[in-house]
Order: sequence, then structure tokens, then C-alpha cells
Amino acid sequence: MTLLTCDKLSVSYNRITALKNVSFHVDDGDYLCIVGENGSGKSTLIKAILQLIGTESGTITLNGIRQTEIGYLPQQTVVQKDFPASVFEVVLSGCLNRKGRNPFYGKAEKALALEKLAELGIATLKNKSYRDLSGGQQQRVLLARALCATRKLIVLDEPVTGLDPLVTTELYATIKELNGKQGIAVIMVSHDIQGVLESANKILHVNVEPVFFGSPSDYLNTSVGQRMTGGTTHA
Amino acid sequence: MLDFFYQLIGSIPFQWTEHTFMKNALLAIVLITPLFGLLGTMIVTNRMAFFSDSLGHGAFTGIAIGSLLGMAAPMAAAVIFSIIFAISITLIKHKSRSSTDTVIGVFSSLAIALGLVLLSAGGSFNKYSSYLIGDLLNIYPSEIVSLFFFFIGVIILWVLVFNKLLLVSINESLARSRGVKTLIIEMIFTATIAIIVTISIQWVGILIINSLLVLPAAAAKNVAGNVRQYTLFSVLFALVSGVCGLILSYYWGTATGATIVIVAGIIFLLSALIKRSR
Repeated sequence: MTLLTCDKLSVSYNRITALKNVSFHVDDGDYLCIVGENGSGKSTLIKAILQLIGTESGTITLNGIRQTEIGYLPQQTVVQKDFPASVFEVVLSGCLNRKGRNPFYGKAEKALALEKLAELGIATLKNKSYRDLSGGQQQRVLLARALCATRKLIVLDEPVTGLDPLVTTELYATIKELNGKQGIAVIMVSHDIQGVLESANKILHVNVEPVFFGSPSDYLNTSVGQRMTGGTTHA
Repeated sequence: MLDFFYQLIGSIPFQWTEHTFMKNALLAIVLITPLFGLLGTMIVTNRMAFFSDSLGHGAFTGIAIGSLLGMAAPMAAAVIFSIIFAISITLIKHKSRSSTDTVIGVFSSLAIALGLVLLSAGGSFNKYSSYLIGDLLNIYPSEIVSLFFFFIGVIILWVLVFNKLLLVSINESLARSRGVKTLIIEMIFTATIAIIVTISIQWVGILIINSLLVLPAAAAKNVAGNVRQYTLFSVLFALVSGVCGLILSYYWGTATGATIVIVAGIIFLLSALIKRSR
């Protein structure tokens, strides 16, 4: 089943075109990686999908999922890095939409947060202060928070920025496991094209306009794919 | 209702508790400082110290406008003007491409200048100079009752919006992706700060009111490990600063607001030392 369809999407900021005529779709269980150079419109596309910005033309259609049910792992903010919250409090904040009008989080939300902590192997960090964690641990916490909001689709904006290669590999493995075992569709923006080629089943390359949309193997046969990967060939 | 608290305070065996003005001041501090501690957490988190400082300037202009209109109690005009001022800055921050600091700086400077021009126009600025340093010992029982209801109102509001405000503070785009109306939440928050700053100015003073919002929360941030601790420590530090500052100012014969800020400053320095030693 197709979860998300983006059809001829165009977005402008202050009369400058950030995205033009971008089309793609994400099916159940897909792992889509959005790549492109700096300023190519990758993060703008994420924001448009999440309806954080308006679109100029084109459509984004969600099927079987509401916009607020998309799990979102945004780029880290300076405030977040230094905020005195416990790991549990950060993950619990991902349940904001589930608590309805109740001002407090209930038992169900707390149980869900604990479940996601356990799933990502960070249950022992529950009472630790988020700002005292390593970069890799912090990203796992934010991933757990994003998972609290969704059962079907998660959007990750540059999740491995600033992480060392070993931690990056571990995080990719975790995301791949979520995608493979739980069937959660993944949309990930990344600069690290080499790292995601083995996990993703779809690649979208944008440079304001769409450059490529298809499988990783087809991408590697294009000139832009070869340029982005430094000429590497994958199976 | 106040008689009960007067008796309670009077039972504390110290000389300062014998005076009604000290009892009033203590009750006011017990009501105001927790609110400063509470709101301060989000001000510090959002790096809004400059913004909250500018609200004091906006309040001053409001008092000037109220006086100019011949209002017996310029405070009502000040509260209205401050809310408009706070919401205007929040809106412009969202719409403008200029840096937040620049927007606040422009508004703040214009507000204080306008206030000074209006109040000094008739050559009678001296009678308004009390707003600069405040006078906590001059609070009336009726004002304490009003403060009590305001205290309850802010606590209810805080409970209702806290989780949303927290998410907006930590990551605005995440909050918006969860369907939170971030602009409305920000406006509610800034308007609440505007009200508390404005009504407290007459007792704490424009020059130091921002310190009371920032110092307890900044100290709490240094030592807290989670949100609950952050909130509790901030409220506690604000309360302790207020009570200790009041008592010390009585024995030292110093300005109460300023003495409170000195105590809050010492608590902040201690918290910074604790943070460094970890």
C-alpha cells in the first residue's frame, strides 16, 4: 500500500524556488533515502511532508496515516543538547499526540515510552540526563521519541550528523532493523550516501528539481550516482 | 484570610515578623517568586533573557501611557500595553527575517525611550522613579489577595500548556509536526511573562526584575538532571532568594528587590561551582 505520494511538488521561500516539480512515493515498508548537495532542498522536502511549510504547487497525499502520526527525528537543536531532561522525559514527549486533552501523560503513554526505550536497547539509560549522553546515545533517545508517535512511517533528518563511524554504523543497523522487522517505512535525509545505499530500497536525489528516483542499483548506474559515491559500485 | 497568615508569620520568633509591612512583603514574595522561578525555566531554556528584559521596558511605557491618560491606576494600562508589546515582538520574531536580538533591541529601546519622554514631559519624572528600583515593603493587603488569584491562574495555565510549551522550547519544528500551534503557545507564554513582569515592577523595579526571572532558573539548570528537578529547583531557589533577601534587607537597611537579586546571584554562583566540580 502506498503511504505517501508526492506529486509535482514545488516550494518557494521568499520568492526563491527551493523545490520544483518533485514527485515520488513511499510504500509500506519502504526505506527511502533523500540525497543531494547542500541547499538542494532535502530538508525543505521533509518540512513539506510534515506540513511545516506551505507548498506552492503540487500535492502530498497521505494514505492510511495522518500527518501527526508520522514519527519525526529532526536535526538536534542547541537547546535540546543542553536541556536538563531525563531520557524518559525526552522519549515521553514523543507521546504528546496520544494524550489527547489530558494535560498529563497517562499510564499508556508511559508504558509506550518504556517499550520504545527497551526496543532500542537504552532502557538502562531511562533516568540519565539526556545532556550527559554520548552523541550516539542521544540519537537513539530521539529515535525512540520519534517511534512513540508512529507505527507506520518515520522521517529522519540527517540522523548521523556529528557521529563517529562506528556509532553511525550501529545507528544505521538499528534503523534497518526497525524497517525490516517492524515494517516501519523510513524516509531519511542524509549526506552519507555510502552508508545508506545498503539499507535503502529507494533513492531520491534532488537538486531543487528531481534528479533521480528509483532503486539504489539503478542510481549507481547514473552519472550523478557515481559522482555522489565517488565511483563506487554496489551489488 | 490574611489574618491567619499574619498570625502564622507573627509566631516566628524574630523581630522582623512584628511589622505588618514585613508580613505583607513575605506573603507577596511567597506568591510571586515561585512564578518567577516557574516561568524563568522556559525563559532560560529559550534564551529569552533579553526578551524578558525588554518586557520591563514595555511595562514602563504602559505606565507612562496610563498616567498620560489620567488613569488613577496606570497599572491596568501598563498590563494591556505589555501584553500588546509582548505579542507584537513574538509576531514580528516569527515573520521577520531580522535576527531576534535586533527585533527585541529595536522594540525595547523605543519602548523605554517613549516611556521616559512621556513621563518626563511634564517635568514630573521623580514621582515615577520608584518604578526603577521598586518597593516591596509598600505592598497592600488587597494586592496580596489579587496576587493569590493571579498565582492560582498561572499555575492552572502552566499545567495546561506545560508539555506543549516544553516541546516548543526544545524543538519547534518537532512541536509543529505534532500539530502544536506553536505561535499560540508562544503568545500565551510571553503574555503571561508580560503580565507578571508588569504587575511586579512596582515592587521589584525595572532595573532588577529580569534578574529574578533569569538567575533562579539558570542556577537550577546548572544542577538539575531532569525537567522535574529543573522546575522544582528553580521555584525553590527563587523562593529562598526572595525570603532570605527580604530578611537581609530588613537587617541591612537595603533595597529589598536588589538584596533578593544578590542572594539569587550567590545561589547561581554556587550552582556554577557544583556544575564545574562534577
